[in-house]
Amino acid sequence: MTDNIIEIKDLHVTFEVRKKLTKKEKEAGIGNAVRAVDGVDLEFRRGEIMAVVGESGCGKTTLGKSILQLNRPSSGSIVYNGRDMGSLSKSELKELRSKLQMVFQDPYESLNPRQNVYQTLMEPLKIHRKDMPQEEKDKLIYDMMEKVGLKPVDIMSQRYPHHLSGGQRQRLAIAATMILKPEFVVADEPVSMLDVSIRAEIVRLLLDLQKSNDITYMFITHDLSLAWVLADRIAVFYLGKLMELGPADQVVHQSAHPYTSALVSVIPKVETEADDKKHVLEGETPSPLDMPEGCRFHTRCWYYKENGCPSVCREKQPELVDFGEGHCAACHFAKEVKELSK
Amino acid sequence: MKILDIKDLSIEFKSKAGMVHAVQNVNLWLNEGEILGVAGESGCGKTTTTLAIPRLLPKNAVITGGEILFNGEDLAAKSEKEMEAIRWKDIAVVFQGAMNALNPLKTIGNQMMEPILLHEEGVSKAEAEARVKELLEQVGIAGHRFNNYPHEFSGGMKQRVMIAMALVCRPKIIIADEPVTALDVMIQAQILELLKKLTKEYKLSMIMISHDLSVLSELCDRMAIMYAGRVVEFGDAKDVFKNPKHEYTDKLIHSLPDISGDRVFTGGIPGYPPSLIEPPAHCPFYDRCERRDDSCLGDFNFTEITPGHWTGCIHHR
Repeated sequence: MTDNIIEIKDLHVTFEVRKKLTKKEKEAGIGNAVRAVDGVDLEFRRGEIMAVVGESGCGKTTLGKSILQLNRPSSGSIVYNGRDMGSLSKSELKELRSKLQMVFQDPYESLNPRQNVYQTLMEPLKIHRKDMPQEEKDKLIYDMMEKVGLKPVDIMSQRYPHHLSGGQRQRLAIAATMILKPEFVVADEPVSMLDVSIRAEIVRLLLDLQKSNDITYMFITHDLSLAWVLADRIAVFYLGKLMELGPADQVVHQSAHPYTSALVSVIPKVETEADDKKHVLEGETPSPLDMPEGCRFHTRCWYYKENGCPSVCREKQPELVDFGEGHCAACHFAKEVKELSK
Repeated sequence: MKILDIKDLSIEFKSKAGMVHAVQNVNLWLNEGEILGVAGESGCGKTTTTLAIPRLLPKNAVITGGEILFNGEDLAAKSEKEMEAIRWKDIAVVFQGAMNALNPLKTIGNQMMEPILLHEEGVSKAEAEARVKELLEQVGIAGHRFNNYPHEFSGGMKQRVMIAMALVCRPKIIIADEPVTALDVMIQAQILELLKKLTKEYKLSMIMISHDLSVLSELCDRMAIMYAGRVVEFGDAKDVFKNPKHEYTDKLIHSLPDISGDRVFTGGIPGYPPSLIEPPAHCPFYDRCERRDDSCLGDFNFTEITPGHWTGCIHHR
């Protein structure tokens, strides 16, 4: 048995949409519930970096928030260190919150403009470390600032968010996340708003903190090449379902799902070789209110189109199949696609 | 043949703290039928430089020196009235953030017809409508959506509308300011293919601004790298990417993960760009550069080191 910090079983998160349906829409099978996460099984191994990749609306952020209990799952379970989070009382949950933290995408909106750096970092300690003496709290704050590179500490601690650059803000947001020594951190596109040269520094910081504190990361990103460099494993989502999961290198270089291989093919390259075929998918992701039958990807799938539109794709939802080494894909033709990707 | 030639352009912004030297002595040109990429990070002056061409700078910006030559005429010296005749008709802009650039109160069709009816006398409404519908089809939007409002479109479709709108008066030059930023990767790929197709079909010349080097390297013929108000490198796009001749370009390229290379994570570039209120006369990257020495402290000197490849670094390899 591997040591799993979090185990997600058959998780569904549904959002009701307030919308009156016409008779025609009802007949066409359009519902008024968005299935943002639609039956996901996933486990996080202690100390790993799991990158969760997919386009907007694929449910990656909803999944992250559900793990932190910021969203209420409709069904299924999330087990953290052997305890089912759904069965916890409010006070037990509060205690857990300090162990499970989140870094948000936008450092311009995730910080309170009325709190300076010191106050921002004091806030979580006030709530979760009530009994800690003041000097200890101060030491913790200044040590943390030092660690994330908000220096010189005495000057920076009095600064307000509007004094800080985007990179510095994200450093502060990370410091506020890490000050409670969490075990599991959801990083939701933590660098997508930052410039390239700053981006790499923030990622480096996240990696350093992970190593020294043994943190498990769920790294949400739309950037597959970044996921490939950082992560131990990559999970690819499409319309609320897990499409492919496996070791980072295998997912990128031996993609077994046509969706993943399409995502890999559109990563810009300087030299495009003649046999480098791009699979630019046509159209846009279908509405989650009107999910396609069978495999939900078949309406945009290049493999489906190139191979005479096999009926199985329209009729049967594919199961997540394991190829060994923990590389899984939910596609009826996963073996063939994997061969093609090699 | 040069269709646009920017010579020694300098632009300053008035601010409470003093004049901000946003663009300093920039030299760039655009050849007919090519796509020129301008890359750099926030505040490097890429948007200021390119929006100075159609003279769409904010009120507190002043062009303090240099020329922008288009058809032999200096756009920097033209009056607002004269510019109005050139904008959209000769030089069109695809703005960043398509979601906010469209008027929510007008139908897509009416917004797109506006520049035609304004700029081209003698074109009837029916003719304008036909032209707009044809363009919508060109960018992959069904013509019957002519009467839809912006909120009925997704982000990717709005960006397509913005591109079609830029083409409506059949301009010679398109300036695209981060046209794919904030879009999903798959939609990005679609829009880039579309831009490639349209430049060929309509024989356009295009300047594309982006902070994403990898996007530019694939799409552009030539590329300019800007840093702290200066162009630090300029040349054939593939050449700049493969043999960077400025330390900043080299560092920037290596900050990007490359799936065809090794799976190693290289850190970013420590430090920050210099203040543009009192910019240095020497190479602006000096403070963050690992290869710096005293010889770098001379005046910034932008030179052609191999035919068509320019750099401001004296330690070029």
